Amino acid sequence: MEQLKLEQVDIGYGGQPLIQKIDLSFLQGKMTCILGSNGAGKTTLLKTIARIIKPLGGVIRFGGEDVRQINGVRYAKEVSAVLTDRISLENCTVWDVAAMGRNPHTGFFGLLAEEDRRRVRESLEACDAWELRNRLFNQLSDGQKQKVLIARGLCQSTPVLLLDEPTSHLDIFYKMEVLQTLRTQCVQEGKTVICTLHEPDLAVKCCDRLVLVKGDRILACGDTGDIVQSSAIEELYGFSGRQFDPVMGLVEFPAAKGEDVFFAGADENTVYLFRELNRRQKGFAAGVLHQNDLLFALGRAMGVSMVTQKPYLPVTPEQAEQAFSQAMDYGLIVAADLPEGDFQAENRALVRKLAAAGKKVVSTSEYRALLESKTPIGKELPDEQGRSGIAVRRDCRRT
Amino acid sequence: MHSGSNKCMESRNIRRKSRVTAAFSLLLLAVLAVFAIGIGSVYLPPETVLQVLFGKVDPADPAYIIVWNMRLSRVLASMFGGAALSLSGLLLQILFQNPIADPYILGISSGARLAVGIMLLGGVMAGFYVTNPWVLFLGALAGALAVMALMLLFSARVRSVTTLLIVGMMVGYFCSALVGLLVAFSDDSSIADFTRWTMGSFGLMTWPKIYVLVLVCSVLFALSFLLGKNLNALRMGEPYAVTMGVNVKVLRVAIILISGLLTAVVTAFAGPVSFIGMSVPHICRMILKTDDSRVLIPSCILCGGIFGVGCDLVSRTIIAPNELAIGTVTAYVGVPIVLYLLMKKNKHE
Repeated sequence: MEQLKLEQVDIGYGGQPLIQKIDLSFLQGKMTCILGSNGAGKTTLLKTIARIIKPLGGVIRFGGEDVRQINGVRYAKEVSAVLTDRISLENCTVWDVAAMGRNPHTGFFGLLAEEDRRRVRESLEACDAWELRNRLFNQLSDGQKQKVLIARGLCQSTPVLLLDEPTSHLDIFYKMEVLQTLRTQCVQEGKTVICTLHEPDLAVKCCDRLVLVKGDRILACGDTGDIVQSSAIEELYGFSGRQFDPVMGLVEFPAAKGEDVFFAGADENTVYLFRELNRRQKGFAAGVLHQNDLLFALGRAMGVSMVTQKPYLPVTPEQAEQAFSQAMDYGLIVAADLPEGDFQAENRALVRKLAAAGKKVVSTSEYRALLESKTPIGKELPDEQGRSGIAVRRDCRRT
Repeated sequence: MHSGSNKCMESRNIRRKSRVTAAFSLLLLAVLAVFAIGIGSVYLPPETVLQVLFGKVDPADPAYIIVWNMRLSRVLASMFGGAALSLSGLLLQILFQNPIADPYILGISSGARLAVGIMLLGGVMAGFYVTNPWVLFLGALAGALAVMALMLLFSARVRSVTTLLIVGMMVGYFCSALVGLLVAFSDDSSIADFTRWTMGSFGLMTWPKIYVLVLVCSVLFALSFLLGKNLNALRMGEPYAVTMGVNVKVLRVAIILISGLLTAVVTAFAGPVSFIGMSVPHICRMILKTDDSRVLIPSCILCGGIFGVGCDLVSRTIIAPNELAIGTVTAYVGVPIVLYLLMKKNKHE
């Protein structure tokens, strides 16, 4: 069900439109993430929905009703918000801060009834902050503060929860914890969560729907699965090559240019070697890899040149030939420990052929041992004096 | 639940502590007032003061005349004046989320000062000279209200409270500049009159003025109690207050209106009395260790009353028969207290 709907809404500050003619709907019980680079208007969009700033045009509907028809207190019972404003509250305990969320529900003097106290407690417990209840808010760490502010939002007992960058300034542990809490609210309490995030990898993993905001327009919006299939996320962030793998939620540094190492096939050591060579900013390529191989997703995100075969099909001689001609340009061949059988026969033949052609070949385990033995950067490749200590095989015993 | 009942006990403890503090403050205020009425060029012991107040003394008795015609009005004026300025300061500190906000920041007393300046100093140029205290009062009130109206106008247009704060300060500076211009063209005797007024004093209060002061203050005190819940929501900033259903624009206007009127009426009667508005809210916060407006509003009124009576007592006795400006005393008493409490708090944190 569409809980919140924006119809031809223009948003912006001081009469200056930032994004015009927005049509969006937010579904009940779903977690929607608004993604976009800094200054794209994510926060403005969220604040407009929270009615902190007025839309410059168009209609926002809550459950079909124009929100302008809903008074402040009633809207506060439907939509709560957690903002990025840095809050300094002297003489306020965690309990006091969370209890502020009860404001729209309490009477004229704001006295808490038993029901209100129960809600405060439940919210603090949901955010794993109940133990902090007697601490002063100002003395908490950023992560703890964020949990308490989210508890305050939950305490407002609204079907819709808006959060502006709930994970910024938090370490990965708190990031995961905060998002997990929001996820639980969605799944178990049926809350509609709308948040902005700076981490596309986390967004695709935990949000049901994505809204991509770029410059002056909504680039895309829809189910996470559909958005991931398109190239909208790469377009949004302007990733060079495919630094981001939305399907796996992988974010990788782009591989260096250069023709240093060629991986013939992949085994359990190859992930380590990909990452280590990338850290050392060495250029590398691989072949022939199956497209369901973990290495394929990793290499694609890094932008590594790879010769590939479809899943569960034997490597063909044509692919092996293509890999061979590519590998000939590289300084070192790293051969994977490949299983026996037809499936990898061409890859094994490729290694033999490269060795026969005079290329230096090492196994992945040997190469890993070398890089792990704190080989200084710049000494990853064997030179003629053999100073880097790589025992280069002129032939490959494996058949 | 075990810890749940703990929590309830805690808030009950806080409530009990507030009640005890309130009762103690009321008692202190009453005792201080009785002594303040008694102390002066003719000393009256507390029992005499009480007898006079409860009508057990003949109206022809000198004590009766001293209490009713001289001292009581002054004590009431300082009590309500101190309370009004403290409450005004508290409201403005909450609105601007700025601990140094006080009635002066909004330029309200500067407006009153300008109006009085025009009447006392401008006469030289315009050929009139005002000495009637009621005209001075009305002029000061008009000046204060004019600045307040200006601030209300701005508050509707300006989005950020910081900007509003700066606007208030600018208006204050501008008024001061105009006063400076007036001073430059005035003769010495009118400058002396003007300076005396700007020193501020709770003396020279007549009963009709007291009635006005007490009436206006009581109404505004009562109104401020109604704001408590919304003021609490404002503590996290205006955007959060909006999401909690507070009509921030109306609240802003209400705060400026209440604190502006309180300052205007006190300034018009007693001249600009500095520092009470800034220091008393801090003292209350640090003693009670709470930011809950529902607790702070009554405690600021009580504590402001005590502070006002105490400072006025010192100002008129310490160099008797001369009188010290009330602002001088409030600063001497207030600065050390605030500094001490701030240092103590920093050490704890």
